[in-house]
Amino acid sequence: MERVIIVADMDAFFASVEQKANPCLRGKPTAVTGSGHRTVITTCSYEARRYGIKTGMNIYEAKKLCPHLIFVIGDNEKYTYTCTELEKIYKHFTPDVEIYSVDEAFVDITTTHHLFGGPEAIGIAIKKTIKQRFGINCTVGIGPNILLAKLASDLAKPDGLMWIKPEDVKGVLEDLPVKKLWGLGPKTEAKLALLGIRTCGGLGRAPASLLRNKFGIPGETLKAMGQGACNRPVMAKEEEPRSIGHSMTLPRDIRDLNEIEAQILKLSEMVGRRARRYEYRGKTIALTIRYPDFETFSKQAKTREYTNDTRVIYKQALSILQGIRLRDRVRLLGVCLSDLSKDPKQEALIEDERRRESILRAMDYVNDKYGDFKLTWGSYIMLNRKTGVISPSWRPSGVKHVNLK
Amino acid sequence: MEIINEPIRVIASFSPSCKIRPVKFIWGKRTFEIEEITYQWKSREGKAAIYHFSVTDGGTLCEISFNADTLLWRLEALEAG
Repeated sequence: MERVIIVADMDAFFASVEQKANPCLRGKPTAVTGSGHRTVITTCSYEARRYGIKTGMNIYEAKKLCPHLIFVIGDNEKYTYTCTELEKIYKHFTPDVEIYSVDEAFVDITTTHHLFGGPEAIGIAIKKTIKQRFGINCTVGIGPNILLAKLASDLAKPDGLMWIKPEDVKGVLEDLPVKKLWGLGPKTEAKLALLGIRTCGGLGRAPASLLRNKFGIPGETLKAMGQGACNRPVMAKEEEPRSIGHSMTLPRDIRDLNEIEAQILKLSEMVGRRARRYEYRGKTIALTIRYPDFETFSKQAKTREYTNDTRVIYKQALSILQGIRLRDRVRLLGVCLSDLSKDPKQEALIEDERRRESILRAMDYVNDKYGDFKLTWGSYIMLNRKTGVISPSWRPSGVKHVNLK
Repeated sequence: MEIINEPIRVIASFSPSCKIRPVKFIWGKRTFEIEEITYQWKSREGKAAIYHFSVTDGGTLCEISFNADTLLWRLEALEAG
């Protein structure tokens, strides 16, 4: 059976939501940022893009390009709720939906499109429902695989719908620059240019041996991409996580050890709580540190037993910290639990351990009922709680789901 | 937007399909006739579902919320147009 995939990509998602929520922003160059004073632009409206504003740009650069740019602090709850509702819209047409990111989904309609009048009818229905329900636009790309559906959505942006049918693939790809292909970055583009390959047509015709010599085994994948082939499935079921981690850029660079430790405690609690919620335990704990000059490194240590206990994670992270001679202030901290096991642990035999587990259970119970961090560790209370930005790995459900403020 | 976070009195309709539609609210001595619900979303505070509404009376943009556990409405934030 010929595969039919839809890529639904929200247009300037966060900015569109803010423009819908606030009529004063409509039609104006708008950029969405995090809440910290040194945050960057997470998305901007199409009006802002005309001035050269891009995702990842800092506020000063953006103001230089567009002095009347309006900055809005992002509201993660709005976006994650909308994404969760969008998933329900896609699932009306098929259960095979992969939320690839908060603003993009892969929808496999291979076995169901005939029930809804065909791929194009589904694409139109998705666009219409999203527009009616949320007042925002999305672009739909349809193709025989994810690579081509993604290409179609990129070519049709904004607010478009494009279907690359199998018989159209050769014509679409022939003169298309290689950089338009999903997953082909500037470094690969530059290497291909050195081989005289600039278009997808050229990439598809290039000798496999030439590409293999230059890129190794991925050379063959590149050739297939040039021909529009891609066998990546739509991953409707979340894969078992390999790790559970949280990191955060701090509101300001810090050197004070007490403050660093309090941040590590907060991250340890976030990691431990998520691990406990989904019944994972891990044996390896990693601490990530980034300095103001963006030098980033991680160090890890193993625990004796599998754990999801906040205090064990915290203590292990602290012992890693104690072994590091910090050469500068700290810009970002991260804590990660890996080497995961889903097996529920046996009831603790030692009285002290049993008490610790019951304290954690009680804390989780209170926080499940009244909200995250309602009952928390004293050392954490001194910290300010500010809005972060949504991690690319956020998902509407499962272990990658994190409640965001 | 200016953070307010104060309780308000609200007239709202609750439809059989569980749709909540605030129509008017009173904050202190000010009455806001809701002209448009510009966006709505839901969040959770522990077990409680919180329904959020961005609303405008034509001049002022407000964010109000309804806590389905306590049945209380709040004016979260406000921005004069």
